[in-house]
Amino acid sequence: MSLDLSYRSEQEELARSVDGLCRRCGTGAGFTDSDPLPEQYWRGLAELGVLGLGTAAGGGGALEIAACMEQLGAHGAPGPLVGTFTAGALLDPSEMEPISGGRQLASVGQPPLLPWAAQAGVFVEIDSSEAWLSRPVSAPEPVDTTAGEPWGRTELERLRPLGDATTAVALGQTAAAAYLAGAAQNLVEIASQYAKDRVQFNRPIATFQAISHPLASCSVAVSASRILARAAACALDNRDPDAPAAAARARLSATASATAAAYQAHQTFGAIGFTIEGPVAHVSLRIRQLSLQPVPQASARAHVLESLGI
Amino acid sequence: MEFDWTEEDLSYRSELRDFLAEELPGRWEGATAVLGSADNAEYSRRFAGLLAEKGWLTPHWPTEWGGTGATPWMLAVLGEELWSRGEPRGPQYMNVNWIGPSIMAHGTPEQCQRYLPPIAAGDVIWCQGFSEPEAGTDLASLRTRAVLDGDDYVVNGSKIWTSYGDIADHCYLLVRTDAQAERHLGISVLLMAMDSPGLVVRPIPGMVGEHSFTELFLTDVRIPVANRLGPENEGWSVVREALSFERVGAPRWARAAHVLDETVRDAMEQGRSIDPVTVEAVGVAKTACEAARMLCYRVIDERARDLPPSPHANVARVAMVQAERLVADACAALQGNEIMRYGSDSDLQMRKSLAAGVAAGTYEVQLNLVSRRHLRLPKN
Repeated sequence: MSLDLSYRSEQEELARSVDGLCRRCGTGAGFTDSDPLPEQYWRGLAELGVLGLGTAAGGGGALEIAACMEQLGAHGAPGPLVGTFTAGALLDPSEMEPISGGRQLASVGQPPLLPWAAQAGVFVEIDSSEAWLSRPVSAPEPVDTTAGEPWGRTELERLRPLGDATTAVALGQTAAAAYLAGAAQNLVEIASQYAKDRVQFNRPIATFQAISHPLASCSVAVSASRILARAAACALDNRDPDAPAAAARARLSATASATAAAYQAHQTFGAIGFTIEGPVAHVSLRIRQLSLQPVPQASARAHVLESLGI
Repeated sequence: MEFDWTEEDLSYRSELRDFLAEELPGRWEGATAVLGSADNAEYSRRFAGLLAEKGWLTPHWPTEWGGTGATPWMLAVLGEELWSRGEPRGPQYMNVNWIGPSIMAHGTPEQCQRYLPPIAAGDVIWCQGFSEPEAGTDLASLRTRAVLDGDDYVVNGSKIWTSYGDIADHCYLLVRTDAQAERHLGISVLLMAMDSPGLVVRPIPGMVGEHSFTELFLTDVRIPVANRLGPENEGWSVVREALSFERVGAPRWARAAHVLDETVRDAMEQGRSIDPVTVEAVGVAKTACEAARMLCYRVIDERARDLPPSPHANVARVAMVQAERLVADACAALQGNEIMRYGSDSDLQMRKSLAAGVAAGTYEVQLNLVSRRHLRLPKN
């Protein structure tokens, strides 16, 4: 047996490009609520080919998506990322082309409350096993969300069945897991740095085990989540029959570790973590938002149980 | 063993609920903002006035200062009912729970006469000037300096994370009056007017309300010596005593329990299917709320019996933080994406749960106190 879950050099290079793009466009709190989706950033992702990854036209697969999502998570980057990759596994090339090109946004979810519906041009209704190309029966009523994303409430009319959604859901869960793992990894790193810099009681707070041990626990959990996400991506690329369950495990692991990392980052940073200008709030809210997509965690648990024959 | 509400407590709760049902119809607008937010300060001022008229703003105070001789249990009922509805008193809860009592305990007759009646009437807002950029959990390392000059202290320094600093009338300010003394021994409390020349207030946008915090910059602010609360350089013991009122004065578990109950009710009404893991999360969260409630009651019981403060308050506070987080997680599991609707009860609970282990003293410090005072573990 061999175990190599590091990215290949071209995947690393793509991830570095995404990192560079995020640094140019905004990172962490730099991606603010005032502009939920900076045009330069989203267009940049399209130009790098990120938004078309996993499609026949765009090339690449789940590992490329995971590599990019880890970087995007580390920056707390916005956008209907999970929906875009999920749609890419379902839509025809002609339907996907404007989405991959960054000219149209995809809203992928379960009505009535739909991600990015206020700005989306393509709607995909999805449950854990099936998907439909759909359209809103009326203009979505805008709904502001926790992480400042422009969602919307509307019922959908199904236009065309998109068939079995198992693989698309697995890809979406893997993408979400990689993003969450990247976001959590970053939170643990910046919280650890802050703990070394911040002096209270005449010593860096990192020297208190009440601070260092929970960060270490988070680090262990996040390491596991990253590996699980990469393993799920490998399984998807290899068309392994276990891929849906692997994706579900990755997503459940990442949701738990990212939520824990968010709590711990807030504990470490104290009040500054609750400021909009600070490095934590923006990411912790996005973690919460993403932890519930693209399908409920209950569906992920059902996948895992199914794989066990339960 | 005796464990039940008295007839008096029950009728008080019932009367209070009727009043709140009338005064706060449905989900009152204020519940969409959260503690620390200035958004609802004006509403809170009006509401506090109404409570004052009923004798419910400062019922636990001595009658001489507008109290009604209410028992600690009646005060607990009041806290529970108001917190479960999102704390419509807003900043006033600080005034009535610890700023007022602290002034009563340490103030001169003139200070009591000047500051207590407006608090009892509900028409004044106070803020607390405690934390500084370099003095957070380690509050005793504060550096804001007050130097005596004639009948005034001249104060220079800055304060941060001050809730309501942009709308408050007065500030309960901690300053260093002796730079040479051991750090706990050189601190004094000054009662500062927020319109003092030399004071600049800057809002800090936060994730829990538009202007959750402010920063105060003090440049040669003159505060009369007559505004010092308690003896010079003995402010640390004054404030420690004040904050002992604070630990369970804010029954945050009551809000969490209310949000959980409402979220479950919504899910049942909508016929949403709930998987077993979520059912368990809800059960665990509900249990944690009950645990926090009982641990708070143990502290209230001590107060009702006039026993000295005990580590039970620290235990209760830790349990409250745990309950708040578990409720947020359970609501996310129950509601799915609906929790994401900005300003919804569960969205706010989620935001508050992130702050729960930091606001009003960190979770870690509470655990230290539990380990030392409750388990009698050594400090080092």
